[in-house]
Amino acid sequence: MVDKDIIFAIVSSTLLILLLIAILVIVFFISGKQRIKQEMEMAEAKLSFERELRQVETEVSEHVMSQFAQEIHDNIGQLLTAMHIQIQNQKLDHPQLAEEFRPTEIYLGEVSQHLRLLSRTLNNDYIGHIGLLGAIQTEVERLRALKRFEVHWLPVKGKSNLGKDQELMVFRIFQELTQNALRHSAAKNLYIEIDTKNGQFELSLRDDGCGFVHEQVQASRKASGLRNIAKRAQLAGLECSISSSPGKGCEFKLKKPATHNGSQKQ
Amino acid sequence: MVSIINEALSLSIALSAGIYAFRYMNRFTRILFYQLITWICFYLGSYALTTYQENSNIEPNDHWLLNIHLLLEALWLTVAAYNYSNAKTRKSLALILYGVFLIVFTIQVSVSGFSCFANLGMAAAGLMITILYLFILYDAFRSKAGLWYTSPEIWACIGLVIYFACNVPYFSLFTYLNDHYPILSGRLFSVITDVLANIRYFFLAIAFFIAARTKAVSTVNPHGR
Repeated sequence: MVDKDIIFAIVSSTLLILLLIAILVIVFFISGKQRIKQEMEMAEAKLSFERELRQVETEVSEHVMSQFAQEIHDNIGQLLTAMHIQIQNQKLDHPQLAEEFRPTEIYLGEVSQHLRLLSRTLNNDYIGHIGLLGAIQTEVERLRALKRFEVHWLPVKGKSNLGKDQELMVFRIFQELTQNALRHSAAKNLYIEIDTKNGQFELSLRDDGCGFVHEQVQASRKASGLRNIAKRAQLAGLECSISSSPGKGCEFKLKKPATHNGSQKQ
Repeated sequence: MVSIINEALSLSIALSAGIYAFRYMNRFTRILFYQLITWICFYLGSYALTTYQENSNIEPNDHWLLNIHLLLEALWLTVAAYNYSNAKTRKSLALILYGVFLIVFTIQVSVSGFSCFANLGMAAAGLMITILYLFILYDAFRSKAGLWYTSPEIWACIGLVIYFACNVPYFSLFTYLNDHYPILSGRLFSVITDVLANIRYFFLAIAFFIAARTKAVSTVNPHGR
């Protein structure tokens, strides 16, 4: 009888402890899950706030650029036209000065052309109207006119496979990249490629300039442009990659990520 | 005999998994592996000692060897718990609990002698390790609740907590049962301790296997994309 009592006491207390451990493990598991769920909700809220903030930032900068484009078109453009008319009048009044006015007329024509192109590339309505590929074509013409480097670009026909907002973002990224190439690269050639086959989208910009150490630049305060590019790409739901090394130029790729079934996200 | 085969089998599985996973282990899992090797050495030593004693017509007694092992086992497990957390309070708790265990162990050994198994020391070690590893389990579940089954720490801790906590009632009465009901004590030992030891080493083998698998997967794709 005593044997049985001892066995019962020890086995039952052991089982009781086992049960307590099982309960504790379940409680830990549930509390851990709840904590992770809470953390995920907080991270999602933070992400959504950040996304909204970037959206507002983008809208504000687009608005400013549109106003700037309008100002160039309506005000500076009109003044240049007035100057052109004035020169024409002067030429009619003094035909002997026609040859002397010719260089001024040429410069004036170039300035008007540059400003018109600039006004178009800043105007998001215009970009929305002509589409990304047309806007890039306009920007390429503007860059070629600057004669700072040779722009290698074969115009692409058709559509970009991107949404309107994505197109605008891609175009602003493209502008930021070409500005960087103009200001910092000292490149002789700029190669631009766009691949829109099979419903995909990939933009590639490559230069043969001085290049840079990506990690160093990213860590420095100068990288606001690069950070801006990354932010815009993220906001547009695109993948971007930069590869560069000193003396070997720089290559930037912007890509629409593939979905699981092999097609790409819109 | 069956219990010896079972224990040898579970130890072999854990040892094989540990050797396979050794280079992928973190410090915590590695210390548990050292503890496993320590136990295997003592297990073989104890087997050799009792066999020798039986052949020499001496009454088999490996309790002094098990006492030494108890000290080392508690030390390894305390060191593992000490290393797991960066919080000072947890580290202090590990040291305090090991100190309490040492006091209980020393008192019992000084009263009963070193040739008598320090069952109360074992019970104290059981309580100490249960408390320490429940904290670790809590932390591990908080950080990896979604993928708890991929955490070697969780598997190892569950095995350790089950073994040490469930052994407390039996080891509290171990000396009493051995003195008054030796047959019953032997039966309870094979029903409780042997089964729990098998569970413990089986869980440890899973932990080692998971440690290797998790690291191997992350080596293939370092960004986890």
